[in-house]
Amino acid sequence: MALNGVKRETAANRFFQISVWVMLASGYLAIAGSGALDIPSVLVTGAALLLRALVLAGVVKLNIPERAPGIASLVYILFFPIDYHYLSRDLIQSTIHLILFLAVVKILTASSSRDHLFLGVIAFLQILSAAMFSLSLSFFFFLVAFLVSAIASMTSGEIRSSSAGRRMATAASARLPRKLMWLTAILTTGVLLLTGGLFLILPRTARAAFERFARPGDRVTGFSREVTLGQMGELRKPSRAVMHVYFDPGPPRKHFYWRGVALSEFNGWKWYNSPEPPKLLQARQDILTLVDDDQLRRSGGPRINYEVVLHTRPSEALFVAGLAERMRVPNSLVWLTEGGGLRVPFNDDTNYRYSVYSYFGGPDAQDFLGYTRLPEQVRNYNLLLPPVDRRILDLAKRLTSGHQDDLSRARAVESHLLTQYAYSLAPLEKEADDPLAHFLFERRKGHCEYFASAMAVMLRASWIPARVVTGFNQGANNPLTGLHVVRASDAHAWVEAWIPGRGWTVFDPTPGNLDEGRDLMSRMSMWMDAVDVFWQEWVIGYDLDRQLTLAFRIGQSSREKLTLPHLGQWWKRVRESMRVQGPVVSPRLGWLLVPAALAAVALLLARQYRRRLLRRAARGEITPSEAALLYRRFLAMLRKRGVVRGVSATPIEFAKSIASPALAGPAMEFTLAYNELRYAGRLEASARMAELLDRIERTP
Amino acid sequence: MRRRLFLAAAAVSAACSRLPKRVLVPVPPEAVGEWRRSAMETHDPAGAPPDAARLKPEQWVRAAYVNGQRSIGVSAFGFSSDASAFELQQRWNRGGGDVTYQRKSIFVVCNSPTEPTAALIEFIRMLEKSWP
Repeated sequence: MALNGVKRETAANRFFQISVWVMLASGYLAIAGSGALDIPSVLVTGAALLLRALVLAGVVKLNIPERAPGIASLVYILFFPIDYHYLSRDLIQSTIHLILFLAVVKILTASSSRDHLFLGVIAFLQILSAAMFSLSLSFFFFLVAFLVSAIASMTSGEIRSSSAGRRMATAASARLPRKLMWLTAILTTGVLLLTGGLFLILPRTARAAFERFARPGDRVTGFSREVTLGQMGELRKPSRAVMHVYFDPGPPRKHFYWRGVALSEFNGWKWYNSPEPPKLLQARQDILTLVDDDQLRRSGGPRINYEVVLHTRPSEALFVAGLAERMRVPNSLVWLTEGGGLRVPFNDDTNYRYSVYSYFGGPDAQDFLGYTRLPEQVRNYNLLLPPVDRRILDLAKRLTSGHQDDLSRARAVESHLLTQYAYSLAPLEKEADDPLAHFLFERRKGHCEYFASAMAVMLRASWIPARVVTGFNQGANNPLTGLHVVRASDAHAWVEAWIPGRGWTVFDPTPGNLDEGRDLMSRMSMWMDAVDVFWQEWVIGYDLDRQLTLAFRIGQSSREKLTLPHLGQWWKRVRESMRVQGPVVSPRLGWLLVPAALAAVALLLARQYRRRLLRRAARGEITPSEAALLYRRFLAMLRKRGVVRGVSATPIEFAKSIASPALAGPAMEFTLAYNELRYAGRLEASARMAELLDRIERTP
Repeated sequence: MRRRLFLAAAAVSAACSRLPKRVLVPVPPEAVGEWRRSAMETHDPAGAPPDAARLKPEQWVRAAYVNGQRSIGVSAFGFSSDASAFELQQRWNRGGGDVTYQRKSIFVVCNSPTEPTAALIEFIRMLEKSWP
């Protein structure tokens, strides 16, 4: 609104700017509260928001040259590789730094509508990131603040843009912010009702829709009782998550595999097991015990509990890591197959959950002292050799000659395959009569089941019982979700060989297998996985159970946090934090200071606003509607001095009623000036009002 | 004194490194003339026939060859030294119509419920050319 040729902000514009700031602040507090940001990011972004608030309050004026933001952004983009390689050493962290820096630049320089739209997008990304990082109750409060401010921004932004150039008369209305607040509240309620409805309906329809329209091939991952050479390469190509695992207390430190099926028979191009009646396992109180008492009594070596969610059932097989000692599955029918594999028949549930308690210690020679030779039947079963190329037998003989025991022979074969052959997912260019000989002597590259088959065959040719095991490589921990994710591309085949004194021992002759999953694509896929998990858990799988769980968690959290014992513990932790850390502010204490700092900033802003109003009044620049604010200030001053205005008294009646001679004169003068400005529109009266207010304030 | 000790240790080390390596019985050939291998298995050497068990073989491998309805059984015993295999070649009781041969540390014996000795000798001549 322009009055007296002086450019002024409209009420809508001011409301809009404040709403955008609240959006940004709620997004910032949400992501900072999740603990995902490092200290420099928290401080720099917080400082930028504070500075923006001061600019909005008129306390500080920023004169940033037009070119400066562009140059600063360019410089930071050049700095990005340095941050990635030497400072953060993490792609996600350095990308967050980049985005926050660009956000800081935009926060400090935003002026146009497009800039504010950009700020809105940044705030949305912050709240989205916080949704993935944060599990605390505080997130919901920030989310509500964000939602309210976002709607307020949209409504006031619309008024702002439509009034631009036309200077609407309503823009100056003092009631406009109140109306906007009401509109915001109504829209927020509508949005919440709509999304609440969607979240109730979607979970009951989406799964059915997906299952109806999904192509059958999308759900087949392909682990069964046989593996054909070349099949695993095809399995490894898609990178969709096959299972997610929650480890308690954390994943094993050493490399491990998800063991599925052990295959002992080979016909030259296919590994398989002849159908044998499996052993039915009996659960006791829903718990299956998979090992003997000696193993259960075994001390030493870590034991880890983990829960597996198998998204697609590749076969009837269950995948376990380490030596599974105990297991809880939702089915009563579990089969133990030849080779120690576990199968749950007649069940093709997606998102199949089971818990396992596994031993991750190494082989202990003491345990196998009395068991140096396999039973003859099992031994010969795992020594079966199909007709193979004579060169394979000769190679096995050459590699194992000069070694005194089976372990060193097996390691010699493994080492040869690891070092003399290359890994490749490419399929064979043409069909080979003997795929194994073609791999070993002509192509010299292939994928895991070629390596595993070659090793198993050469070990058998050296009279070492061996079998091929299929399953998955260990996968990767996703720091965004805290879950271990195993993908179809982790599908793997390796070898188990019977070594006297050690039992069935794992050998992995496939080169370049352990370093996979650390590339850029893998890191990006972590984000995709986090989004997918969020979608699966909180949208597709957001059923009544989840809703009740969430409600219970929120209720419990709030109840716990408001109980005296909890508050006592909290205060104890604060004191300990202060005692231990001395003058350095701990992160926990830092979070306590945030509300205090915000309150202080609010008080400072209010004080600054009053001073600014008085300065403008002294210059005769205030509007008639702002005269009411000065009158309220006048009433507050008198109230402090014991003079209270009656409910029914008009301003003039109130001024006449003042008994104190020191206050009566200035009060009457102020009231007359107020009436002139408020109702007659005489702007010059405002300077007199400011002067009289100053005089009244100085009156004891 | 120290020099002598060093020389003695070096001599012992060299002698140990030249100890004969344990030779494994190679996988029996898939075909011997018109005979096809139909089965192959290993057995615990401790359960070997008394003549062989006395010499403590390290390996005992058995294979079966068929040609139509005719069949021949082959057993091979792997020893840690050539002398033991030779000893068994000398001592093996051939009363049951067994035909044997020895090469290095491996002793091989063939017998058949269907074939006469002449046919076994013919078979073993062919086998000896490629195995072990």
